[in-house]
Amino acid sequence: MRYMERFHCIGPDCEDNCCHGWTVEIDPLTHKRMQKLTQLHSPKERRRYAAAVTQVELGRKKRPMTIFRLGADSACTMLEASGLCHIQSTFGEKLLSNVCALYPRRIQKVGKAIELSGMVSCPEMARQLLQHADATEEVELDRTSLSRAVVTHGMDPRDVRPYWRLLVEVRTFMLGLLRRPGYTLEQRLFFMSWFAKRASPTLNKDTRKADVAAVRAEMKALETDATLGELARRYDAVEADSAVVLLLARELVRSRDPKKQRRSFRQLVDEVFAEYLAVRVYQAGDLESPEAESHAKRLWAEYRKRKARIVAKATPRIEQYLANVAHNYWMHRLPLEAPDLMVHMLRLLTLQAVFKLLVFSHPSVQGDGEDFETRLDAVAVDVLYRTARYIEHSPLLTALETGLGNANLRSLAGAVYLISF
Amino acid sequence: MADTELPSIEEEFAELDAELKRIAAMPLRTREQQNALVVALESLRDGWQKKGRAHLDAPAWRRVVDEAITTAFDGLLAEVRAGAADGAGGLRLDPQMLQRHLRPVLDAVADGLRRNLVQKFGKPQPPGAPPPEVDGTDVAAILLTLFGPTKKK
Repeated sequence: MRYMERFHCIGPDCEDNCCHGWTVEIDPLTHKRMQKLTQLHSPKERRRYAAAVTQVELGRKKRPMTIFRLGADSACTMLEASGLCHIQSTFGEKLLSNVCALYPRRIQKVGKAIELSGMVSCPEMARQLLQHADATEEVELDRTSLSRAVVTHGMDPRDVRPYWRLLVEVRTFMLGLLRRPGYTLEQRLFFMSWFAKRASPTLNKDTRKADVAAVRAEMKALETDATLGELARRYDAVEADSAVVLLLARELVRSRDPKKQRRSFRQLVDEVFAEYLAVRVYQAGDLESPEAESHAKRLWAEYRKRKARIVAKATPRIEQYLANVAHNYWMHRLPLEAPDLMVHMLRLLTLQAVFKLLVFSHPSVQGDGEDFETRLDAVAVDVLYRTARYIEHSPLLTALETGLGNANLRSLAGAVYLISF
Repeated sequence: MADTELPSIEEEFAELDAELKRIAAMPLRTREQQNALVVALESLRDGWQKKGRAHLDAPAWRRVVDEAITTAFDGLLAEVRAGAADGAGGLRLDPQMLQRHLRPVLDAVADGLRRNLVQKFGKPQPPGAPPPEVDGTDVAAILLTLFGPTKKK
């Protein structure tokens, strides 16, 4: 994709570099090389490397994994005060472990193609993805641009189960719906959810053998404007006014155990939710009837006010963010990561709901002023990369569907609420 | 879906409408709303705003005390509400939290008392001089100004 061509690591200029807070694995080959090289280099380097790594047991059947220790500030012990990596500056880029050399890139084999995509937990990657309208345009991969061509993800092309067999075809079809001209982004996301819901009884991990004719027939029907127009008209007519998604998104971003939450994400959440502290938790008359006022309804009204104000000022920009995030999600994360196609779609919609909540409520975009778009861009990048660091690099991504289930949103109706949030 | 026809658009939207309505009718309560401490603190603050606050023509020291009490309520509520929304476990007013928010109030009250005494008895005494005598009626007047008359049983 185009944004991968534009991306380059900005090193010490990065607002939040990738050398802290992670468990970084050192692949066995690089580990052996480093042990030998540091021995040959000097006793000081040998001692430093030995002290910087540790082994983690992965059970009886697996070999232990070698990882870099983190310092008291949770930074990698190989990170220099200058912001540069000690291994890279002393021994060269070739001695970086695969994880360090590749991040934030992902190389995966999908069907017969080798694909390169980016992880938005890197602030510069998030910037390149969000700030250009053509960021997700497909371009031919220049393999010489890759310093290390290690395929880390992908799918087994020999698997004949429908979910695997139709993956490339279905993904291309879904991206076609996402970029279909003539419809609003909300309508396009609804088309995708509609198809995902109807195809999931066939496109799931448990179905070993099935006739895929109905899936193909559905894809064909959704290629015509007659069907899409009818769905769009009906989607526009549905009423989906409820605070349910707001409560779900609040729950997701607020960890039950603050110690397990990344500090930078925690700061972002606290900053955003401070905006809602003036909303009364209880006032006389609450809960007198199902239609009565409540804290949830007051929060919902406040969120909608903020959303409407920002969307009115920057609709195309907001749509660009959401469409690019959705496109990258489908390219970067294969649907096979989820138990079925609908769950894969609902995870995206939930991530988008969290993104919308944090961007629309962020204090930096509440005021007017000439630099509004600059502030909005900065907030969008900040929210996207911090959320990705917190949610996408942890088991929370799979916990999203549990949250959806608890909120009764694991359905097409749930998708509608999430889209219109 | 494998060998059967998919539901029609009509059928699918009928199911969707029913599900949307079912979700919309679900009672929604935030964590904070379910927390009795937050509700009690908000009620206390409301009661204080309505009945406890001094009139606009109150002396300066009294306005300082009022400001300190308002800030203490806001600070306590913000902290308790953040904890309630996190669901970070047992939520209670711990001694540190109380000290952090109530200390400024007590300081303001003490300072107010001192200023009040100075106003009443003139200039502060030089160091080493015996403190002026204060009788019960003086203190009662100050306490009445601060907290209002006691309720009749």
